[in-house]
Amino acid sequence: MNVRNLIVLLLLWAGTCLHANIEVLARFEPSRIAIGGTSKYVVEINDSSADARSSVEQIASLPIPRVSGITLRNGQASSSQQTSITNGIAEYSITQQIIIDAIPANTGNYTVPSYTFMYKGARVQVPAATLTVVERSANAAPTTDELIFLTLETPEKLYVGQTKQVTLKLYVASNVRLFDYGLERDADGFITTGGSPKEPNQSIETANGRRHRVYSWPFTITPISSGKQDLNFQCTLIVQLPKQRSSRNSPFGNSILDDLLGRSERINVYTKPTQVDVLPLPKEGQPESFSGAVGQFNIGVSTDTKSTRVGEPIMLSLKLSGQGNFDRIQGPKLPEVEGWRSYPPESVFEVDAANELKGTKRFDYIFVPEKAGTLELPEVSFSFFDPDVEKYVELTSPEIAVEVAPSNRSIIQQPAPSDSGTDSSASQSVNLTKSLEPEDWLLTLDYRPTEGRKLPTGSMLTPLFYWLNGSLLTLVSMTILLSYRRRCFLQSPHYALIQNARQELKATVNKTKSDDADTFFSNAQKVVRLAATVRTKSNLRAADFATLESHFRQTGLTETAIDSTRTLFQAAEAQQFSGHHRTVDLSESRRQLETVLKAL
Amino acid sequence: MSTYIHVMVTFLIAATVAFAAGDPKPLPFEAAIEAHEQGDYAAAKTKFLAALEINETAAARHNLGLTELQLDHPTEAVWQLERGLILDPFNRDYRNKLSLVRKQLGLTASTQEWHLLFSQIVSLNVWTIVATISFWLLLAAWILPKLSGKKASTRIHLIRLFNSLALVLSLTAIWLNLKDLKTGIVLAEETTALHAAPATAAPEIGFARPGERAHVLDQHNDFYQVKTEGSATGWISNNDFRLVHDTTVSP
Repeated sequence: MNVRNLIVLLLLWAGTCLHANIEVLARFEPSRIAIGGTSKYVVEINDSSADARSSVEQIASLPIPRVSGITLRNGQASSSQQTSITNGIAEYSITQQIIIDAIPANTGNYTVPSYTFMYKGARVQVPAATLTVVERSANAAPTTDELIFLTLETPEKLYVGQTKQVTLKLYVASNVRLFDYGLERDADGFITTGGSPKEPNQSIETANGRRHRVYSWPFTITPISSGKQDLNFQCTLIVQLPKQRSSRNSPFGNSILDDLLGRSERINVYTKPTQVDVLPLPKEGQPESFSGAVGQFNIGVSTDTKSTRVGEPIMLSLKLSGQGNFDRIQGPKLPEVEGWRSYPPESVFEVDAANELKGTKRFDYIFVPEKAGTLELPEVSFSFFDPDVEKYVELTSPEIAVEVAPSNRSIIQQPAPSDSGTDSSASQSVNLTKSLEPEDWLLTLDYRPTEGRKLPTGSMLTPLFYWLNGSLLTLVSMTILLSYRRRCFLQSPHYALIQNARQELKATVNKTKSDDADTFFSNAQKVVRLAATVRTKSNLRAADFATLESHFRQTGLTETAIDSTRTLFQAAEAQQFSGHHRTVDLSESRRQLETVLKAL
Repeated sequence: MSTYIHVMVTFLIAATVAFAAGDPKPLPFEAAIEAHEQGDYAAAKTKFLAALEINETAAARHNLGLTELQLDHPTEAVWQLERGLILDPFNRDYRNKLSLVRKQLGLTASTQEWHLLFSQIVSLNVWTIVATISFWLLLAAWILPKLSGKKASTRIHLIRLFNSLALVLSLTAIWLNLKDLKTGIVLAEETTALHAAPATAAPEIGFARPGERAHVLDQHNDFYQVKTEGSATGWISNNDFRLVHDTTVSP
């Protein structure tokens, strides 16, 4: 390849790179619809270039010529980029689409003529596009507007400041799958409150012979300026329409795939264009006390007490109940009355759970009497405009008499000025005390930080609680036990016999430790008899061996124990009847006694 | 020996003089009062808080409440005055001031019912001791005569009557005290929303007024379910509400 051919090729490549081709298309999708349906007017701008750095110029508006009989609204723009490489040469293209809803009024052909607009500094031409609208056949499938629509019932006229509750309803046919939605409003002439978009009330209704799920948003509107005011709503939905599912049905099961994947489309529905005639409030007959209340109201006035003392405040409550624009109602200004000092009111509104326009609003006025006597609180006037009868209504409550006693508040000593120059007699005539005003009173501190009540900790289960209950439980249990034993002792001879035998046994066992044979044997016999008494629970204190033996056998005592008892008793009798003190070896007898006592 | 005594006496005199000559700082309570009287309410607040760190007294709470009022924190003032009244429930001056502040907030006057005042005569611990002793004495007075098989004497009857009365009264007082432990104050400076669930995103089902008393029904994380004086029920954030008996709160 020689240099000239190379230069030609390079020039061709550079020319291709620099060349940018802008192509504009326009069409209706679909271009043929039945009356009642909606089409989309699509303008497509293809900007292809070999320069990868080409960017999109966003189109904010298009100078579309007005076409009679067709409404174009809700334009949306989208763009996409593509890159294609052919024979090693890359081409970049950017496609921008402007999609506008087209709603025809009647059947016929509607042509949007050709027009031009500026794009990237160049004038580009949009070709004409035609939409054909035909009559619907009797058995045609329902249109999108019949499946999904938005309604709003509004009053024909309202007064400025009048609050009205309205309900926006979105009807979605039961065979339409709704994935998401968003609400927009065109109501610049109104204050709208409530109607949280994500928390609609849901119900089922039948409309046009078709079951619909109905999403309702109740909210209030308050016009803020007079004249014809637009009140329109738009809902953008992402749905899956039934025709979409059927149209994609195929032997390969696309419909099932669609159901599973939830293929959806975005559509817009609108309320019918609505204008509300907003009337200004009449100037004629407007009372002085009118402050913007529109509706129907009643008033009630009360005080928290009928008597007070000088400097001690009382509260005058004005209770407004009824239906209307409570949020715009301010507490009426009360006239200044001699003897009272008043403060601006605090308000509390308790809304009716069923209807947010209904409720009770209370205004609490603080009045502080400045002198003693029978003082009257001023009358309260409240006026409102009743839109039903289209007249102002003024309500007035009577004055309320309050008995005001002299103050008994703490008094403070006013120090006499040292350099006042007045003589002592004059200073004595000056009143050295004065009543504290509420403001002063609230500045008066407590100078005595005495120990107060101990703050409860919230739990009664303190160590003291456990200790006290444990001690008292022990004490009461012991008292009960002792009392029970005492009762048994007194009332049951048998119990007393056993207990006495048991006590005597303990004392006598010690005496058997004696080395004196007489003492040992006499006490050993006694011990065996007492032990037998405790064991058999029979009185064997004076029993001989034969009696003891029979009882021992009845109680199942071992032969060894019985033999030991016999031997012990024989030895004791031998010692007893020998008539003199013998010195004998007591170890064998002690062992026998021990055997008997263990057995018993 | 005399030298030793002389040195000791000299040391004691020197120490006493040095101690007396020092410039002792005033205690926080007195310093706070001084700052309040000079109109330096921010400093007064700091010093009253310091005084409360040392010893929580009704006077310090009351004074801190009045200081908060001067600092334009009326709901905090209500809380401090309520706390002061728990420490000194029979102080009419405190109660009247609380009523005045509540009225300024558009609330009804603070009245304390006799049975609540009765329950606050002594502390919860004392009531617990009274209830415990009454219970055991009553138990003993019922069981012992039966066990001994004797007819109850007039003295036993009187003991039973007295202890029954003491037990009923003390249990009632304990119940009232425990109920009072769950009372708090709405600290929000504006009317605040009560929610249907313990979350700020939950729907609003009522309102609580600033400084309003409310009884805690339940607690979940950072929310209290409360019933206000105005009978509104709902969940409120603990940023807007504080129990009067809250022991975790810094003084």
